[in-house]
Amino acid sequence: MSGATEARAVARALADAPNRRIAQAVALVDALPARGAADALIAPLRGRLAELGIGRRINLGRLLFLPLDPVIVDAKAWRPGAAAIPRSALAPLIAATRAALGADGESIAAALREAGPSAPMTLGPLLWTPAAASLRALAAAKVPGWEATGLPAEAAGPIARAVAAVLDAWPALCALAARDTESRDLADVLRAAAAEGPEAWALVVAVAIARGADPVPVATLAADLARRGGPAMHQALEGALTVATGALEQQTQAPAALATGAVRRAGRLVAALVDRAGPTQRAALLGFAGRIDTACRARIAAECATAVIAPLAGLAPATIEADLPGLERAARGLRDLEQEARRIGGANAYDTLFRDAAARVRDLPGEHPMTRMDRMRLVEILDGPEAALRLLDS
Amino acid sequence: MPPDTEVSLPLVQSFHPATFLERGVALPFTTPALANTRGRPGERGGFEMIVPNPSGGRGVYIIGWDGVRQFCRPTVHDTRLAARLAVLPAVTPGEIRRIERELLAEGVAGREAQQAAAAAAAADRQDRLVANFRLLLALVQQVEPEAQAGAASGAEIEMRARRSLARIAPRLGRSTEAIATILEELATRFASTGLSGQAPPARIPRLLAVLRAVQLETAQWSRQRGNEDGGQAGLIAAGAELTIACAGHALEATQGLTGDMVDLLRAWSADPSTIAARLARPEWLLDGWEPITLLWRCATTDAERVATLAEMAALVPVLPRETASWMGMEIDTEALTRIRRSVQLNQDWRTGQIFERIARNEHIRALAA
Repeated sequence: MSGATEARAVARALADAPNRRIAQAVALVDALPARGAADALIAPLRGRLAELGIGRRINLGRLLFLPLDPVIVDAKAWRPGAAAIPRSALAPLIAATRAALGADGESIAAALREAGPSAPMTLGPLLWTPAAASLRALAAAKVPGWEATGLPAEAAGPIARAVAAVLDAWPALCALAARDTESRDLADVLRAAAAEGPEAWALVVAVAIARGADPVPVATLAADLARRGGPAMHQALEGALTVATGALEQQTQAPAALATGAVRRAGRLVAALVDRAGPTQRAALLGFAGRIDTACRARIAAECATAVIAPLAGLAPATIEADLPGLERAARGLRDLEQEARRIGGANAYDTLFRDAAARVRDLPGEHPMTRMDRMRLVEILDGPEAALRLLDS
Repeated sequence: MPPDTEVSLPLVQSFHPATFLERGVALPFTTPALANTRGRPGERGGFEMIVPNPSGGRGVYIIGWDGVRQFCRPTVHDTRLAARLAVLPAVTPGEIRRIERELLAEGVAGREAQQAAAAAAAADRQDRLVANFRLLLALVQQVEPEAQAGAASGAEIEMRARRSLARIAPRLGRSTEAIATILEELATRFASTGLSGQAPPARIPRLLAVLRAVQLETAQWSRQRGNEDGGQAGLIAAGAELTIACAGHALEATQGLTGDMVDLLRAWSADPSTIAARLARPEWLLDGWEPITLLWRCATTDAERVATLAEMAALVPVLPRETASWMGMEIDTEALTRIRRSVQLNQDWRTGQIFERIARNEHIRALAA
């Protein structure tokens, strides 16, 4: 068997592997100093990583592109001018940036090997600004190793410039999200990005909407800038919204606790733009909202059945102390997700779903190991305090 | 359970309480919208609640439970707590703690809180026993200074205690049994403060130590960050600093009362309520700070701390003007109000996950039980 065939076989085996095995494989690949062909092993799993909630070890390359995470797409899906970065461009850009940063880059890489989960907050700002300057210089020259990306040679410069624009804007977007009193004004950040050209601007807008500051002011300011900026900016905004909504849709597949933020973001984006958008954009936004709504309804119904109702039958007196917190946690996660999802749609369906689920808890046989108080608490989470009080007082 | 935005109640524009009772006692509600709600006896009887403006802006609502239900859908825990508050004979931090613990013991806030309440009740009983023993020991040492109680056996101490009680009872015009009963009553009051040099320390000195640590950490956070959360940390650190100074002073004065046990017993015999009020001062001064310290302890990463600082800052209690008379010195109780005005306290667009926050609040109730 050739190396490539072997790699494909391993990748296929991983696709069917349990979550624990996937986490081990991802950790192994992330720990490699140069991932090269090993990257292909986890490529088919990318869509599932967020869904499975698998944490990734952070190295210099991942930290560099962390702000761009939601706009990185498969190279085959990328088109010139899209508000996205083809994944195959990452390796040469990371290598060139690392070489340009020299000792500074190596010291950040060394610190990352020892760093804990707060590394992006502490080490990121040391990397992003100098990296943006290096990438700008690189955009004017030839990016070493670009031919291996399979992308057009003329795409290298615009992509490097667009990445630099995002890295420049990112600290300000984070500061705005943290409501830093000394942060740059959002309008300034977007105007500065627009000065880099529509492609770079669209990438900054897409990143800001998908994971930066509050999407409402970003979207409304971007819409104003696009209106004043002519057809190219208009087109850029449409591209940005396409990529940002795609990224948000993907984020909503994550475990409930992570998906809740993405659904909130999606709901706010639609509410902010739907009345001011033109017919095409409006249709796209409503389509996006519809897909989120459908996905949330299906997911919440399925997870309520599998993570809350089904485990009730397996509760035993000996293990209930350990199992009950997980059951309550699952129910709370679903209710928090539902609270955001119902802003987009499905309020009546959710009411019925959770009322029925609460009835299943209420109607458990008397000999079930859940005490009356345990049942009351689960009913309170699923159907609200009034239903729980009725159960308690009955 | 999002807050109801159609609140049709009068907003009191400013809240500058003159006394601790007017400030009310921090209520351990678990509904996120009721964070920082305080309770006090109503002007026309009953129990009233002081609910901060839900927008995060200035002002408070002073309402009964029916009014509270206009803001939000309270949890079962809160509804049950409100029913007990309505019939509470005396509103003090100790009484609120007692009824909250009884409620937690029923399991309405989950099994963790239920177990914590049982453990805390046992710890309180132990604290009362320790306080009783130490009060007795202090009495023996003062009445029979020639005897070295430290080297004595338990039986010997008991004998000396009986002898000491018999010696001082006539001076106080009481029987020895009555003096022993007074000592037990005093032990109940000293259980939370402990006596000077007590190890391990009682609940109030422990809380004071935790607050000192949180004060140092939030002050450092404030110095390092110019962000909005830096301002919030600054408000918490300033509030904690003032509170530590006042509560530390009050604790010292409380424990100092045992320096003359005969005098303390005489004063309690004559007017127990005055002594009880003095002994409760440290608890009144620290009221509302325990959840703040627990929020800080529960946030383990920088990102979690950034997220929790706004919530902590909103909980910083105002100090009533009565603090100055308690301390016997001029205290600028308005200083915190001035800092508060410059700090943004309203929640931002990311605030949500109501159910997760209820669970977090239940966890905090368990830790504070």
